[in-house]
Amino acid sequence: MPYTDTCIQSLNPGFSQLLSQVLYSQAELRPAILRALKVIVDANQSIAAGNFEKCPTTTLTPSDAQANLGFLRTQAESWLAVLFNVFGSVDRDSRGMVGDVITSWASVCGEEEVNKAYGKVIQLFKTNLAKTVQETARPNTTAQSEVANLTATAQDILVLLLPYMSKKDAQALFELCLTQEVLSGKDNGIQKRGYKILARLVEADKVQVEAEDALKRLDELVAGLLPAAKKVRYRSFFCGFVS
Amino acid sequence: MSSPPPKSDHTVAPAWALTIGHAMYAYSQINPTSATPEIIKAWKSISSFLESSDTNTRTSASTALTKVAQSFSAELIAQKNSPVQKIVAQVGTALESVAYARAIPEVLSVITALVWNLRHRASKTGPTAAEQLLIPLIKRISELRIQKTFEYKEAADVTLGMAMHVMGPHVVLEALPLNLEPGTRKPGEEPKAFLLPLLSQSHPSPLAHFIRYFVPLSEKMFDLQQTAESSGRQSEAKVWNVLMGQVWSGLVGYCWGTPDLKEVCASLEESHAIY
Repeated sequence: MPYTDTCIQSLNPGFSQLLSQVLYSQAELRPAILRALKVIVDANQSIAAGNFEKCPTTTLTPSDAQANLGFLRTQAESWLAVLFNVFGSVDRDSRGMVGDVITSWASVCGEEEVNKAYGKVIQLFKTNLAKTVQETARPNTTAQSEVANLTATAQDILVLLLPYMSKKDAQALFELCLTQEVLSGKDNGIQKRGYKILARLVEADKVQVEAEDALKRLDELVAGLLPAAKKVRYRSFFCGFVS
Repeated sequence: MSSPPPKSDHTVAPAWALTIGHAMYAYSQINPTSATPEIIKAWKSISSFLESSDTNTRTSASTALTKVAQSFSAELIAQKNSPVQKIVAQVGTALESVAYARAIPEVLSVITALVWNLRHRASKTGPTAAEQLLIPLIKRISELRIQKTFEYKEAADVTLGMAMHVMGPHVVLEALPLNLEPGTRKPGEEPKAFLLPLLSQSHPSPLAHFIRYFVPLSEKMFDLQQTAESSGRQSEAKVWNVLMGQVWSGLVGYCWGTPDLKEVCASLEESHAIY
């Protein structure tokens, strides 16, 4: 094969940068790149597990794929940052696809990398939540605000990262969501997502909950409950705390 | 096998061909050594039924040959003067022969089976047996595919797609240049845009090939698209746009088990601030 090591090293060193540029700037090409970014993780995971069903003609061995996964793990933090950005900038219909890629990359991460990614998102969440609270405190705020959207987006990303979080991060997230700002705020979307995160954390057995205490705290927040969030709230009761 | 039915017999012949095919495969699994000399005999007697005027007989013969192709062992493929070489030569003749003219789709599916069953490599970085034996046939199929009167484009694409899957675009495109850029195309070199949609399946090519071959191509396509657009040639601009989309849709094919991941994806800079 003509592809010697020297040839490879002389290649455009910023292929990853090129990909992220295209992701940001070329909406038409975005699905193709997202698919590639997902497959590169998923395929190595399958091969590492000895499953060649989807790529029978690869020359990789399971141990090669294992080494690739180790390498991908070192790239995950920066790719997750790019993907979070893309997730926040695309319209809602395209988010599912970006979310799938985030899930794949989060799944190759160790808890340490997820912790770093989590830290960034949680910071974003807190900042925007505080701004939302300020904003909604002012009169005449009927329009869906930009900061509330950013807050909800951060919550959506937290839901994606949730299965891969350490117990410590999960516990912190639980406490953060079980607050008045989140569950009794004036924004529908933030409330709903707040309850959703609580339910997921409990379902996934990520947190230690004193049921009685949690229910009491939830009860105190019921006054601020908006109609749209009711369904999710009941779900969190039935699925999580009741069991 | 010593008493094949006459070619005019459209009732017995399909069943006979299938039986021989399956029996050959079973034999090769149970006793590879003694089955080997029979493979070429089985091939010859079954392939004569590809000439049949009866569609059913031809389809059965092609299915049976696919089964025989599954009997190729790695040792058989690797040996000197392997019967596989004779088989490949025979199929090559069939592709050209008038007697087989109406059997082109069946011959193509036999070639597809050959490509798949010659996917083995002598070493991890060595070429596939398919690359060593079948490139001339693949080139010929591409020539046929370009002819305006050729009727079996879909069947040809299946075979070419299998070649991509087994050998990878870095081998196939070496043999079949895309010739998409009008500036560098010589007279008589036909563009082969029909190869682009075949890229998105899994294949063994290194990601470096995409970067070396397709990234510059996509940049040129972008320039051509811009030029066409600014000169008011909207439909041409659209064509470049579609082709660019197909190129990038092909990236995923390089991500199924990338052999050179580390070398190529050297660090994504940490400069991407979040939000």
